[in-house]
Amino acid sequence: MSSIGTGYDLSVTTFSPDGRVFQVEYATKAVDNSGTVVGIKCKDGIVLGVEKLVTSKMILEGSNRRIHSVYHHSGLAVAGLAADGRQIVSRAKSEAASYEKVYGEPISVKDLADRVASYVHLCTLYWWLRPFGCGVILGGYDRDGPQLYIIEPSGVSYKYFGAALGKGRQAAKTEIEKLKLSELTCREGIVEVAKIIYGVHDEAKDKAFELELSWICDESKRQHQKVPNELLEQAKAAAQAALEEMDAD
Amino acid sequence: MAIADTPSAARRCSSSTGWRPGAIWPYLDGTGPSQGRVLCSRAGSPSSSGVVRPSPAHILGSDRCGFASGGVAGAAEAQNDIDVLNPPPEVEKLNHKKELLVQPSSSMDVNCQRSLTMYPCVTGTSVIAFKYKDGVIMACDTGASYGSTLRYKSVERIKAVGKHSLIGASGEFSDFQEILRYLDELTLSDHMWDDGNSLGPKEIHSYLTRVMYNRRNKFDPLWNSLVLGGVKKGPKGDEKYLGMVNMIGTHFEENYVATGFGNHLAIPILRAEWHEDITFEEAVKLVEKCLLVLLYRDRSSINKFQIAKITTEGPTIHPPYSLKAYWGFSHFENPAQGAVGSW
Repeated sequence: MSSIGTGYDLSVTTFSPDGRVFQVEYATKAVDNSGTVVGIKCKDGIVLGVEKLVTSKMILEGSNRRIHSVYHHSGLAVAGLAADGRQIVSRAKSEAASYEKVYGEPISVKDLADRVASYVHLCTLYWWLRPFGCGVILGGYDRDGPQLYIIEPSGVSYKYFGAALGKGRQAAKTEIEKLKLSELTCREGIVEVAKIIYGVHDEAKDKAFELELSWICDESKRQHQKVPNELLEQAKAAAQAALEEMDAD
Repeated sequence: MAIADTPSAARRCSSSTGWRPGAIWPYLDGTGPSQGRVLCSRAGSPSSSGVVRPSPAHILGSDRCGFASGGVAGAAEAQNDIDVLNPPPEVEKLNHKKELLVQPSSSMDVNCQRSLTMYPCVTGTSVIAFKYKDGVIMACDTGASYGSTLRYKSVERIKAVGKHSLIGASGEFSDFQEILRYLDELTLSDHMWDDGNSLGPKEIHSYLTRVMYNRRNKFDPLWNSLVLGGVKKGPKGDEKYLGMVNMIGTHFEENYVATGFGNHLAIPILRAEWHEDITFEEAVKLVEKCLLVLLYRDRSSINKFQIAKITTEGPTIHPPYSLKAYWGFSHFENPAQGAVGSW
């Protein structure tokens, strides 16, 4: 997996002899080094969670949002270079707005994912642009129900029912696979996501982190919003309790 | 709320800097872009030849552009038997065709890239609103006229904007729909911040004022009078707000407002009977009193009303209902009694 593409990795418009574009793979490394981002599709909606690594004690709580609303019904959680993520979010917002202007209907989550993926892919085609150094989990709730997509720096997008990006993605994916997502409601989902994030957080390597949770579900009237404070606190408490239990074993 | 400018005054102050009076209003002598389409025949033109001339409806100060029956101003000229729509050539010759400093152009001018709003087509009539104890109450009828025809009878002219405001509009209905689209965009981007803050009535009123004034400056107004009311928490607790902005960008804040005919018929009632902290029940009674007067006297009003209120809990638009009106006047029952020629 970690091969040095000597000479073939200088430009995004160069293929290596074995058919890889190294610049795009290096961009994916940026995503792999960021804080964990988790998304799950519950039976009545989507829950997105981010392990926001806090680099300084002076940073105000609640600042540097990693989960953004893109339209009433969708949210985007960003893993990787935050500034690149802002650009993707901004593009997604304007795509959703322009779709509504033209067709008079809210954009479907599938079309939104397609458009974001096209945009991200665009930046891997020209030598004067660099690929985006961030992967994005897009969760939305439209006429076809709740949907979850990941858009990677290469421009591919896949639909998932459980997804994770960032440092702790392997561990997170294992945890998600243990969940029975088709029976989980979003309320329970929030607690599960919190537990996963608290679980994969590496206390040794990274000091503090802030948990950011958002959902789109029937309870939030199918609007993407931050999880209400009381539920957030409950989830955090439950997650911490679960951690202590694990440590006690 | 009468718009003070008359085309003659406008002509006097036109300069060669490119302001085209003919772009919106026809001249009193019948030339100009509205030729052939008479907005309304109204007596009382300032000319000396005593001929009835067509003049734009908005001089009346209302937003309706209907084919109003004559006799509004009651000047003596109305008695002349002149076909105003198709004046005979001798009459036309009498009109002074002034030399214009700036050529008027019609909206179909080839040089003109876009067409300019000249007259409204489907219009709503008055909206009345005032502050009451828990917030702001707003009411209007659910009719939209196409000229003088009461074409649409179930039109919602009051809408909620965000969590804190209500907007009511009179005038061109399609322009109101466009304004609602602008407000949708505004509230969407406000909503996407998701930072616990949201746009209040004062901010939306400000925004609408900018939109209306800028459109007016392009000679392409959104032909509406808008009423914006709401409640939002401010530094002094829950602050009620009520304001109005019209098609030329005039805007103000007041305890009670009305658009169109409501200005003439409802405001005097509100002046006499509105008081601070009026309760909801009293407010509804007061509103119904005003609506009833409008129903009797405004010919583009229909007997189907919607009352809406906005409080700290949010906006509520009640379903439409009708008021009991009294039509049992003896002259209505026997209109021909005493008329010449009846037996």
